[in-house]
This record gives sequence, C-alpha cells and structure tokens, in this order.
Amino acid sequence: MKINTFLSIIIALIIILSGCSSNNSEKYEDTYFLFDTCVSVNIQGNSPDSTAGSIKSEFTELDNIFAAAYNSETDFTAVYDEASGKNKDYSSTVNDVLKKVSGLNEIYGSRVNISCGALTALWGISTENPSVPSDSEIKDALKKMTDTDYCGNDCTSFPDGVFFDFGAVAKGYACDKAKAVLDSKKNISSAIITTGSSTLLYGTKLDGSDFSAAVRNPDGGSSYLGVIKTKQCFISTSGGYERFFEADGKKYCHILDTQTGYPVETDLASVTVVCPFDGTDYGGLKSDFLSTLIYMDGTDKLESYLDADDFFVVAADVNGNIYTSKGMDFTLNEESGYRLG
Amino acid sequence: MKKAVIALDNNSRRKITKRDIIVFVIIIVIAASAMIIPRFYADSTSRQAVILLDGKEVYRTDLNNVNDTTFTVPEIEGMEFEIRDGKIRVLHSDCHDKICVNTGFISSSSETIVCLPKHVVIKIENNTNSNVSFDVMV
Repeated sequence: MKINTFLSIIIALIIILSGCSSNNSEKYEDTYFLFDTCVSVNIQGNSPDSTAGSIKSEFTELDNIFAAAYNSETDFTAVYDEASGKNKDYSSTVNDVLKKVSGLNEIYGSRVNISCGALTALWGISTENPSVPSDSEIKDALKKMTDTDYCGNDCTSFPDGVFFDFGAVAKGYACDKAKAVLDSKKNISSAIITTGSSTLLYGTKLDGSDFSAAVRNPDGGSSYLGVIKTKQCFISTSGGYERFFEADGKKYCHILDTQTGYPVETDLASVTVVCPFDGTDYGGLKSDFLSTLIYMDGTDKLESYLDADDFFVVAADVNGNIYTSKGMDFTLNEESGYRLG
Repeated sequence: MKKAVIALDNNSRRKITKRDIIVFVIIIVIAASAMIIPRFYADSTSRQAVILLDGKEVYRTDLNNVNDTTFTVPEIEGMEFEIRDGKIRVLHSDCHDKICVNTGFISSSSETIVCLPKHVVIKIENNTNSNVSFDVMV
C-alpha cells in the first residue's frame, strides 16, 4: 500500500511540476516619466523586476545628465545629483554620446547638430510658453553652435557659450543603455522598452513569433499606419505631429533646422527607422539620429535612405503616401487612409 | 528477472486499495485544476481601463461591463474622462499641449493615452489576446 501511495504522489508531482515548469518565466511591467516623455518597460524572464530596477536607475541617471544640458550646463564634471545630494562627474557619459553622434555626423552629414541648445531654448517649443524669436536672436543662437566635431578627442573643454540639446539622440541612447543592462542578465527571454519616440525590442517572444510594432498615424488619434514584423532591434520615430505650437496661423514643429534656425519644413509627416542588432553599442542612438535626419531631409533624399542595407525605413509623406525599404515586413493598415507609394 | 516481475505483480495486485485510488484521483484533480484554472481565467473577456498617475494606479474599470459615462478622478486635477461604446478617452484637459485629448478614444491593450505635462497614462489591460494585433506602438 505504501509503495502505491508513494508512486501515485510521485506521478502527481511530475504532472504538477511539468505543468509549472514552462511558466517559471515571469512578466514585469512598469511606466514612469523620464526624458520629458513616458517610459514603458515590459520584461519577460526570471526575476524581471530586478532587471527593470537596474534599467530604471540607469535611466534616472541619464535623465539627470540630459536635464543638466537643458539647464545650460556645460561643465559635466560636477552635476548635482538629486538622489545622492552630491555633485557627480558625468563627463565620461557625455563624451560617449558626443563621440558617437560625431561619428554618425561623419557618415551622414552635419544636419543633425546637437550643439543647438541655445536655439532650442530660444524657441522653447516643448515648454509652456513657446514664441517666435526675432531674426537677430536666431542669428545669435546659431553663432553659439560648434561644428560636429563637438569637443575634439579628449573633450576636456567646450567652446564658450555652447549648449547641448541631446533631444535628437537621448531616447535612442537610453535604449542602448537598456540593451546593455539586459545583455548583462542571463535570464531574460524578451523585453519591450519604450522611451517615447524610441523603442528597444529585445530577445524572443515566448511563442517564438516575431515582434509586431504598429507605426503611429501622424494624423493623430489612436490609429496606426501599419505593422512592422521584426526580430530584436531598435526602432525610432520622428515627426512634427505631436509636439508643435501655432503662432499667427502657422504651425511650428519641435524639430529645429540648424541651417536656418527655424523649425524644419519638410514634406514628410513621419519617419520610422529600424536598426537591427549589428554588434555595435549605438544602434538605438543611430535609429534616433537617422529618424530625425530623414524626416528633415524630406522626400527628395528619401530614396538613398530606403536603399541602405544596415537599417530599414517607413516614411509617410504629407500627401498620404507611405514608402518602405525593400526587405522589410510592413503591412499597411487599410483603415489609416494612407497608401503605399 | 522472471522472479522480479512476479514479485512486483503480486505486490501491486495485493496493495492497491480503494484509499490509494481516492488519493490518486484527488491529486490528479488538484494537478489538473492547477493547470486548467489559469487558462479559464484568461478566457474570460474583460478589458480593464487603467488610469495611472506617475505610474501608480488611481482608477480602474472594466470596459466590457460599464455604462457610457463622463467622470473625473480626484487625484488628477483639471482632467475629465469619457467612456463610450467600450472605449475611453480624455474629454478635457487643462494641460498646454492637448496631446492626450487629440489621441481620442482607445480600446485595445496595445493602445495608450499619455499626458506628459500631468504624468498621466491610460492603458487597457486585456485578458484575451484575440484583439491584439501588435506588441507596441512606435
């Protein structure tokens, strides 16, 4: 009798355990506000909460660094950190960002120039009181920019009066940092990290299927242009449709053209760039940089970007056409009112 | 070899009692329900609209089981919400950019409404995956 009772318990235990073993993996979700945007974290794996905690502290520190730049600081060796109440030396992180952006500028030109902090502050488009500045004010702000070498090799000093605006790359850079955290943990199966306009799709979903990312409709509403199916990658979207202000009946978008000093005028409504993992540590930053640049450049230069072999593009123009790179899996949402051009 | 088989045969024929079977059945039922009950829950159709302030939940309702209404949430000043036809939106907001109002109605778990100035997020928690056609908005 004892043997049979014992046997039946063993069998039952095997059934229970086999039923549970596939569910050891847990899901963790979090939403918070950093980088002047909404960050959402979604991690699947073993103890995803501690991984999410590491990412949050990494993001909080980055936010502090980028906010210091907005507050017109150029000495990053002693930035006040609210959490610890002490000054911290953030120059190595800032140098890292500047070098990577400078490297992209060498390849793609200097149209996205992140030394435009004075110009950003002058327009104040993301603030509560934006205004159209005078021509002379704009000229002065443009004089405060440097070339895209930014600070040379050692970055020990910055030219006087230069202010940085990391807005075009901050969120993509944050996604790079999130990937580094996830890479350092062995037990994460998949993660979706969104920092407003940039997204990190990491790992493999439990059912093994590709990630599906819906591209927001620039005309507003909760509708979407279509769905991108992709393996793990970085995705960034740029457009003038969410952050802008109106003055004298004219719409001014938040992306400033550092050549004219005015908000960019483009015939594109939104640009989404997908950078698959390529072994570098700046894929997120690159997707963010490129989405801004391609949006600024408009349909004239779009063809060359669509042909690139290291990233994919979905671009919507102001006339309702959508253009996509060859070799990417994009399905149009017929209800969006857009058509494939 | 032959001896062993016979021994086991004798052993089992003699030892299986009613009590063993009851214990066995009970354990099987517990094991089976442990596997089936979560799936049963997942099959129930509820779509919870959740309003978060600074990442903390301040309001929740089941969109599949609520009448059309407009309402405010005490924790969030200057914002009014509307539920209509199982969808939710921000009806009014005194924030400066109005992105939340312009987003309009949302109804599926892959959609969110965000108000940056007020640190408010509205999301839908969907127990059924059937309506979800994508993982994330970009």
